[in-house]
Amino acid sequence: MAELTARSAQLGRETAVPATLSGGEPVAVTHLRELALAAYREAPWPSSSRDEDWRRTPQVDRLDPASFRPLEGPSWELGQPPATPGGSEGPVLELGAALSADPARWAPLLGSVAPPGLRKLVALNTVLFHDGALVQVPRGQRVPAPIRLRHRVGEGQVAFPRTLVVLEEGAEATILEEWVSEDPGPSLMVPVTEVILGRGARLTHLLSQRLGEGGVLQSTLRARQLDGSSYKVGFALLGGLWGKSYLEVELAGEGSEFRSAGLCVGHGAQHFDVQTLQDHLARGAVSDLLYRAAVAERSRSVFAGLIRVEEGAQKTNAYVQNRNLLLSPEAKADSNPTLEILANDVRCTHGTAAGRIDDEQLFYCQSRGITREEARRLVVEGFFADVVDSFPEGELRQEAGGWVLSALDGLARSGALSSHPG
Amino acid sequence: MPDLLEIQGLEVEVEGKRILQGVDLTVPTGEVHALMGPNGAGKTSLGYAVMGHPKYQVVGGDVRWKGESVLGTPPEQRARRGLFLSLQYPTAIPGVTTANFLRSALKGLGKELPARDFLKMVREQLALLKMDQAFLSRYINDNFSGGEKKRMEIVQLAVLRPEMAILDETDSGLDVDALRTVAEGVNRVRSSGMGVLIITHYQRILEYITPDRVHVMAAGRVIASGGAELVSDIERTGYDPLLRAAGIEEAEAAGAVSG
Ligand SMILES: Nc1ncnc2c1ncn2[C@@H]1O[C@H](COP(=O)(O)OP(=O)(O)OP(=O)(O)O)[C@@H](O)[C@H]1O
Ligand SMILES: [Mg+2]
Repeated sequence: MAELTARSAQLGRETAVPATLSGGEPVAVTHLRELALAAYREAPWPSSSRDEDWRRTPQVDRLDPASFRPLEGPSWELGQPPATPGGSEGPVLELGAALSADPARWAPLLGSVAPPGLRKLVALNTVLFHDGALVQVPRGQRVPAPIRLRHRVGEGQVAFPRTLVVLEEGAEATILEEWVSEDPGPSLMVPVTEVILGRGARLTHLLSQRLGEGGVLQSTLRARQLDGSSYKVGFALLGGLWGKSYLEVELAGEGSEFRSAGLCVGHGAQHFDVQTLQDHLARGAVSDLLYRAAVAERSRSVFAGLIRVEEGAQKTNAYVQNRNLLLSPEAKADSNPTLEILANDVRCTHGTAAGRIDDEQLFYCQSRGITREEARRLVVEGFFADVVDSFPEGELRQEAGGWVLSALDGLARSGALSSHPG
Repeated sequence: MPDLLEIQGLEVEVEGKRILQGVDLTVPTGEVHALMGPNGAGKTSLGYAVMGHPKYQVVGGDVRWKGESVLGTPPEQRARRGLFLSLQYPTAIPGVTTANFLRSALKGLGKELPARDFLKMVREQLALLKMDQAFLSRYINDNFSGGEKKRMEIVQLAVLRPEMAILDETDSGLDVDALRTVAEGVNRVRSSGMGVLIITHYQRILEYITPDRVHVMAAGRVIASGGAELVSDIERTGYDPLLRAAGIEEAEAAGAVSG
């Protein structure tokens, strides 16, 4: 307790007191924390006037981790336990326990995909995570049921969830990661998830952000894919006050495949900033990313999506697309998909569009007896259909549909679907 | 008893441009009326104005439904009172499945059904209109062929069961078999006493659905009304004699006169 208070007192934009893993900390992790602390001290706090990444998200200028208390309990919990393939311990382990039991195996992987130097807030997470989840699926094994990881944060708290996902050659799994808080008050969540996919491994990874009204999310999800692996990411950003989410994938192996579809629903003064990277490092890989944002009232969506194709990555097929639906005259969406191509035999495209609800669609619905408000809701739901349909069929797709519906209920309750005729 | 639909001296503007110049037209309960006229005469605009499309501003006259004006009420309220408009160009709504659309429509009309009965009914109607069951989960009108859109309008008509249907060129773009299928579809619903205003350019559909009255529009108003024989007159001589009798230049008939 005394230790936590001390940490809290020294958590700030310039420095922080490193945490230690519950259940003992291997030397390698301590070493990683030292690097992270140095990186944290060295990097200036992100600035909307200096940093291109933050130009449209000035909220960061006022963000101070010192105004939150570090979360004391576990930063993650498991949903209904998945059936275990092979090993009796199951695919999800406490990071600290796994690191202590087999430091030679796990320590080199931690921070190898999202190193502390990547960004100030990744460094902060690396200094301060006090527990974490390790999802590991041995070679050739398949986890049949979805693995559900839930990260919670409470009012006035800051949480640093840390997740490491390692699928060995030919392994298969589905993970649902949720970032949630029940309290409407201010909170901060700074999750870092690292994903390593071995040759031919297949991972479906779903992310759902449903923080309370005052929640702030600063997330990093970064993956490295080896030959022939397949990574599917579906994400939904629905709650919180504002946030920035990085989704970065290194297609490091030949013929690897990354497909992602995501959505956000904004209302009030919500602000969602999403920055993605499809980094093609090897030949013949495919990546496809679609992001749909519907913004109501004064809410705002900011998207920057980069496809980078390195010199050796011939025969790359990459696509990034952002579609925005503006539900009020005050809502805004900034979209900036870009290509950076160093190879010459590739197919890369990007697309962006922003529009409003089509009056003819509304009239068509109304002429069949559907109220204008319900019609708007139906059209917005339709706007997200391909994203929801990209979730795996069954319970998860139904759940995703449910998140969208409850977000739309929220819009309806706040009058965001009825206030703007025409 | 008042007539089902009475359109009286209706004047309509779109973005300040006068399109309907005082339309008079009455459809009594249970009757079938045909509405013909050259391209640009204002037939589609009339349908939109009756249904309450916000772009079609009523600046004069009245639309009365069972004796009561519907002006100023939103389209969904007119639908709830029993009006239905089959569009000349049905709108696609990507992402909204036919099933979801119809379920929402029935709910809006206060005719919600248990899920199982609902599916059974829609499946039946799809089969009657010779449409594949896969249309249930396709997005409404999205990438449908022209003929499929028209058939889907009639599926909706059959599911929603209005008291009166305005069918705007529902026969256009249909092959001979589809035309019969669609006409039979309309007749099935009509047997329960539904009124119909059928906008068309062709005699053919009127052979299946016999009109009680025929009206001809040109230059934003009704220039002639008569019995079914009017259709074959038009088929033989075109609109010229009617236009001349009404004192309308050909150039004026097509395209609205600016107000
Ligand atoms: N939304 C609109 N904006 C501008 N002009 C319009 C609009 N709707 C109709 N008009 C004009 O009003 C006139 C009547 O059009 P309308 O579509 O009602 O004719 P129609 O009789 O249905 O023709 P058709 O037989 O070709 O379908 C035309 O000159 C048309 O260009
Ligand atoms: Mg027309």
